[in-house]
Amino acid sequence: MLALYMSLIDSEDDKSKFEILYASYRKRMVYTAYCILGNKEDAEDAVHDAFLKIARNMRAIGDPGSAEALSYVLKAAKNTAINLSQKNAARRRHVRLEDAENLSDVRFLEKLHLHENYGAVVEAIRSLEDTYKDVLFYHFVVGMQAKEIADVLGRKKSTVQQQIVRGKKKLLAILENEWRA
Amino acid sequence: MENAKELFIRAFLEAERLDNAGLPGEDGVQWTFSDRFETSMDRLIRKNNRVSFSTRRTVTKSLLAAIVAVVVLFAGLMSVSATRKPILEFVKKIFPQYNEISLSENSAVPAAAPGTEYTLAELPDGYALAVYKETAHSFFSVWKNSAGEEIAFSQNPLDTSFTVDNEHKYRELEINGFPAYFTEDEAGAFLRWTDGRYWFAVNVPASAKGYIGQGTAPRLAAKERALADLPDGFVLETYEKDDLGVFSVWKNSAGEEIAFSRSPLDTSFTVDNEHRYRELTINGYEAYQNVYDRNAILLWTDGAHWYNLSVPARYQDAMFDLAESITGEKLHVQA
Repeated sequence: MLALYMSLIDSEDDKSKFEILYASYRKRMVYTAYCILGNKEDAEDAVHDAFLKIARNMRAIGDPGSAEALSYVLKAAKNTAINLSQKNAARRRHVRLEDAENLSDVRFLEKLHLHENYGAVVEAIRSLEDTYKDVLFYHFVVGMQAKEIADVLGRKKSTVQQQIVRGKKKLLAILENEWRA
Repeated sequence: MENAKELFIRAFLEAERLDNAGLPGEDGVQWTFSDRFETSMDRLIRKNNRVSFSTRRTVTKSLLAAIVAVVVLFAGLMSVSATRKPILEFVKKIFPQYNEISLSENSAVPAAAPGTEYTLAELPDGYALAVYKETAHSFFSVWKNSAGEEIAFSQNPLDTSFTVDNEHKYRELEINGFPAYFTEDEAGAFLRWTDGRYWFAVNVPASAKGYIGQGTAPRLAAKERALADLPDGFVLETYEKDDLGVFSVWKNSAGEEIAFSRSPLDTSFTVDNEHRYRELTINGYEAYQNVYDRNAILLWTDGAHWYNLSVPARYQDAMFDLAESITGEKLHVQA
């Protein structure tokens, strides 16, 4: 049956992005999930669920062979595994919605002084907590809306919106500490 | 010179690259995937390929405003056995106000031939479809008239248990050689019967009691015929149905395929707008056709579902007739 639909696609370039993602990254995804869950069956479940979410947001993925695509799928696997590990946890995380000053993307990017501090920005991103790094990745690099990010990461839309704002502020705070040092 | 956002994205990707550098390569991970995982992923890949014809353009018309990527689940069906005779034994439990009817454990339910959805072939004047619901194996429709009166029709699998009001002019009949149940009161009348493959039920208001007489089963029409009138040589090879849709494939001895699918209205599609592409109007809605060297594709809606038909290129002129043959409904086409 796959042959019927593959025959509709003109070139290798158009071959299912989804299949390419699966073939190229499934082992690293399951490795990532296993590092969190420590259980083979759970790790495979997490990866399968991650691919379900990826399938729902395929238009967000450009070149499946790109570093961006790798990060995208690894984050999906990681967050799905985290959600799975917390599924039966007694405690629940509550994200308090703060009345935070909304820092626009334009203002945020201005404050980074990227042209002068490129290297520092790279290191600041690396040191940012995963919770915020992931939402900023989907927001800036992939260009997804909060609702789509929430779907991929298994969070509430309001939580994602707040985390985008706080992520930007935390990144700036890291850089300011770096500059003072 | 890069703008700030482009530079930030570049910085972010570099940070990601550095973070992921410590991860082993795909070949460096020693992992044997379980059969369960491989099977479920194979299914997911096939489903994902079905909704994506090309990555060139996403249609964004008002009808598709809430595009949601869909994952279509198809359940396996029992194979048809021509020699297996059905043995149907019904158990009736009598309660003060109702009877409960169910299939006994001794019954041998007929092997599920490619499933067929039925609808009422004719309706009294003035009734229009108001409600339609379906699951993998059950269908429910309600037609309403301007007075607000309703005719309801349902189709359920044979192993469905149900209750029948045994107080109001309750009668047990025989239709198609099987037990049938009829009740009526001041508000209307109700009939439930079977053809040995499905249970059907129809509920009519008092003004339309004549529609089912004193227990006369109304004429049914196959809403979607898996065994449609197709060109000679094409035989049904695949028929899958689930909560979200239907998928059929007919094949001939030369390996040519005719494929048909029906999907929910919120299914996301991408349409190849390069290869002999044209937009039409079918049933008053925008429809899309592509013609390739080997096959032609038609995508259309009736306002309730999306339909997709793929035929060998030599049948492109007969596409609309084939589509009508499969759906059993006239397509109002405007090129």
